[in-house]
Amino acid sequence: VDVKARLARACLRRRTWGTIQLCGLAIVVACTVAWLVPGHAYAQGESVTLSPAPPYNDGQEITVTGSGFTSGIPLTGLQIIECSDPGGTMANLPTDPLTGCDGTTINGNQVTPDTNGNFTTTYGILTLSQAGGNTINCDSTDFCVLWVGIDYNTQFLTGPHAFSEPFEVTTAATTTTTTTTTSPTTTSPTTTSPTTTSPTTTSPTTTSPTTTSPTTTTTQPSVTTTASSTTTTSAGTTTTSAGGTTTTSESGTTSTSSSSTTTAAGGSTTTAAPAASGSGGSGGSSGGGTVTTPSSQLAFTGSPPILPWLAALGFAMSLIGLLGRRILPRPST
Amino acid sequence: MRHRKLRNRFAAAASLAIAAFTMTAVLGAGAASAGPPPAPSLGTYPHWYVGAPEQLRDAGSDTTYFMLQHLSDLYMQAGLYGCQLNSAASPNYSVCLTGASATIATSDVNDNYDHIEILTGLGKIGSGDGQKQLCGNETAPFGSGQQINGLNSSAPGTSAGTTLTVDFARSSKAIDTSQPCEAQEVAEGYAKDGVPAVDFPNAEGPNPGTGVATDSTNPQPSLVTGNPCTTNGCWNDQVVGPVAAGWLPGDATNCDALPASSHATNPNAAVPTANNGVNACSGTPLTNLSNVGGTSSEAYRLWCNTAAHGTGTGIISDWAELTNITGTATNPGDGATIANHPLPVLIANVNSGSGTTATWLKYLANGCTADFPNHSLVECGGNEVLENNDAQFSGCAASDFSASSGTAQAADEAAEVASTLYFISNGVYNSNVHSRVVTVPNGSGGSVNYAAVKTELNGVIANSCISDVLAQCTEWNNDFPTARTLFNIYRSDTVRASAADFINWICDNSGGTGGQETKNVDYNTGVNYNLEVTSTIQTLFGFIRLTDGSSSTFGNNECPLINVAPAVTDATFGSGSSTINSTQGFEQAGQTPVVSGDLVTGTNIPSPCYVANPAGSVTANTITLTCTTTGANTGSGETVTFSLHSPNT
Repeated sequence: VDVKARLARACLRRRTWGTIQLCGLAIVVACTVAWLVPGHAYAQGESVTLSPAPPYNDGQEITVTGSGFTSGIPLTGLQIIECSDPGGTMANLPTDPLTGCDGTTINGNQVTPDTNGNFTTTYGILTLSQAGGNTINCDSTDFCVLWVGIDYNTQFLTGPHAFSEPFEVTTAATTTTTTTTTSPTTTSPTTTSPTTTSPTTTSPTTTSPTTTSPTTTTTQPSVTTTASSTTTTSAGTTTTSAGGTTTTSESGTTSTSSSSTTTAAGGSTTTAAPAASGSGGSGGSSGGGTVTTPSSQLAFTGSPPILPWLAALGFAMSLIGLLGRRILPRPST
Repeated sequence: MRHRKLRNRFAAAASLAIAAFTMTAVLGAGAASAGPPPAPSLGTYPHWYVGAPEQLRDAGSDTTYFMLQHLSDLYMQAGLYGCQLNSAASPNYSVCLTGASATIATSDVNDNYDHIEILTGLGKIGSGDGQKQLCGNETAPFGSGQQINGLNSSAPGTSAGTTLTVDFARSSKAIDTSQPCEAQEVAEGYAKDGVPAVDFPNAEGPNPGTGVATDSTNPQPSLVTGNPCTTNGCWNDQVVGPVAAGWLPGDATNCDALPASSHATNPNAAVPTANNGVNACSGTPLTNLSNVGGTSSEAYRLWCNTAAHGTGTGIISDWAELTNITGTATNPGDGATIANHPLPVLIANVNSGSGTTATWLKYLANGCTADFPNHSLVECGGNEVLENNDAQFSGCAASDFSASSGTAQAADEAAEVASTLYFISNGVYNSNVHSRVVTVPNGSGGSVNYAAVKTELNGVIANSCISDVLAQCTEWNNDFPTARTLFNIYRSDTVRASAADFINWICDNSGGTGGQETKNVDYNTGVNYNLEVTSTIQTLFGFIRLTDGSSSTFGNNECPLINVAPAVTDATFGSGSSTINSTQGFEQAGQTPVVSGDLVTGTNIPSPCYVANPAGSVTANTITLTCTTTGANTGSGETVTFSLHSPNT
């Protein structure tokens, strides 16, 4: 009873509402500063997100969405390369492309941001192995990230750039799977909903159409998966077939049974994807291999997804505080 | 009692023995781990160490020039920890010490033990020229017909006063079979690459572009064969926008290429293009070239076909023919030109001796020649430009329109850049962003950058990833039409041991995880040299490294280590004879063959003697020798061993 009474008394004080308003304003200001002031890994303005969420299969085509690439971007476009990130931590992000990245993973297509600094493109994730001729390892136990910027050789850290969230490449699949992830019930304000799924690699004889079937939607953690598969023949011809069944489990893992991986149709591929959290960090569970949970400080140089939520909270507190003060009568003097 | 004494003595002796063994083992282990590495064997595979510093020189390819500079630097810096040099030798430090004195704790016996120095030669740049120089088939001062390291030459440094040595040729193309030493040439493929075409879809110059080259009162006769300039200049005083993006007269000069979805039925727009379709050009952007159709192919018609233009035939010389694809015109090259508004295609005149040019010629095929019949006569003054560098067009544009000024100059230079078609190494394109940028005046005292964007070839984009199973790795699986191998080419009859060591060092990746055990850690960086070689080739220069350990279903295993044939043990020869016979044969199955120039040693064979059979003729049971001292002693049942031609000469 005393507690309720105290709360009631507190609510009747203008000072309490004033404090709430001030706190809200402070949060808004702090979020703005964190967003704009350089020096934070995520405060450079550039960020990239990957969909679907990791882990990936060898050769899997994912959608890379970027924003904030507004200043100093020449018409040469953007480069995307795979870099190692031991443990998937921000502390272990590479500082030198010669020792931390493999140039053979560079995107083949032209990626140019629009006038707002945004872009969406596809990128084929690769398993990398030093034993197989690569300079770094990216597999089911070695985390990697994508570096996106202008010039990896001369402006790796000094020019506009962003690192993606860390990921693992779980299996040496022979299928290229294109998947689009959306979050219909909103998991994070930074989760994007890319729609472009055209693979960048085509053969002289075919094109790779965008496929939108089958689609499965579940409740949170929700993943809407659009699956198609690109199959390669040894002669270099590429055929694309759509179909297969997609099921989504409660844990958010998605099993995609799609078309064949060799010249002839047949066989199947399992693609595992964790829930699209949009947090930019969770390694998620795996359907194709063991995924270790990285340490809490994940590598991700985009703005923290929680930042807009915090700002919204601050704004709401300011508003509530303001209203509270206005509703209460001024104390008589 | 007596037994007890014996037992005690036995126990004491055993204890002493165990203690001594333990001490020996401990001290021995300590000594072994802390001591210097043993000096390596000289003259043996795979290093072919000679025990003395030497200098090497390579020449040829422009594409690999910078990469070889870097690899040479890595190799040379390893020599800082090479053998201990003999200060008492004459000249001082000209040979390694021998025996236990040859190494110390920090000695690197796996990387440049001999302190080899390498000069990445310039000379007449180009893969073809490098091979000519290697064969002594190009004039002085880089060959002069003299084989510095030939069988009958003296050591470099004594007779090399008039010519420069070429120990091996850098080459971005395969062996030129027209060269006189072709039979002796061996190509070590250590990297892969591709050659896409590039255009400039973002060259958005200020209007109007006059296109009056150099002298407004005396315009250049033509920008391109078959498309003469008018008296008002090559662009007829008309505006020129980003034609490669699909700009056509009437469009804004800052229009952008439409995305692929807007051109779903057009083969020129198979992939999304720049700028996401904002402010779209009305024409079809040029994002793909095709060589399908022989002399009627789009690529051949652009670079080579000089016949009059017609539907599906003859020269393509106007950008509107490529991008104004409307109505019944469905194929690039068949678009309608714009009346009184010429938009000439400027084909860059790339170095004819270049391996990159050779690769492009192979793509064009059908007898096209290295001077590209349709190359522009105005761009860069009609002179040859080097391969793999778009930035040089800045200088060309400034020179070509030096008589202009202000906005007219900016418009003319932008128009020239926008109208250019060029090709470039994909590795260079990917790893050197500056090589893609052309800087020209902006018309108001400043400058503006235009970027080259690579095209697809036959609907395939150049990708440098490594995989036998993924279709996207189009250079690795040779789906990209101009996928090629980059080589170091040596002559089997003259290759020096030190050159063989360096070439092998680049190729060697055999065994274990990544092959790191075959090389040491670079004390300068803390990274194993093998990994540094890989990252240099793949990350710093954008190619794919091929090694002796590369295995693939696409033939990417072209870098075997240089070796020699195994010894034969049944050699017979007569006094004064120049031939040696072997019943078991000199070419044993699965082994490296004996080749002309191999050094031959044996108990009764004078030294030095070399195999002198014409190349390719050492196939059975007889070899012919050439020796500096006459007359071989009689031998029968002798062991004859082979080594690389001369360790020092």
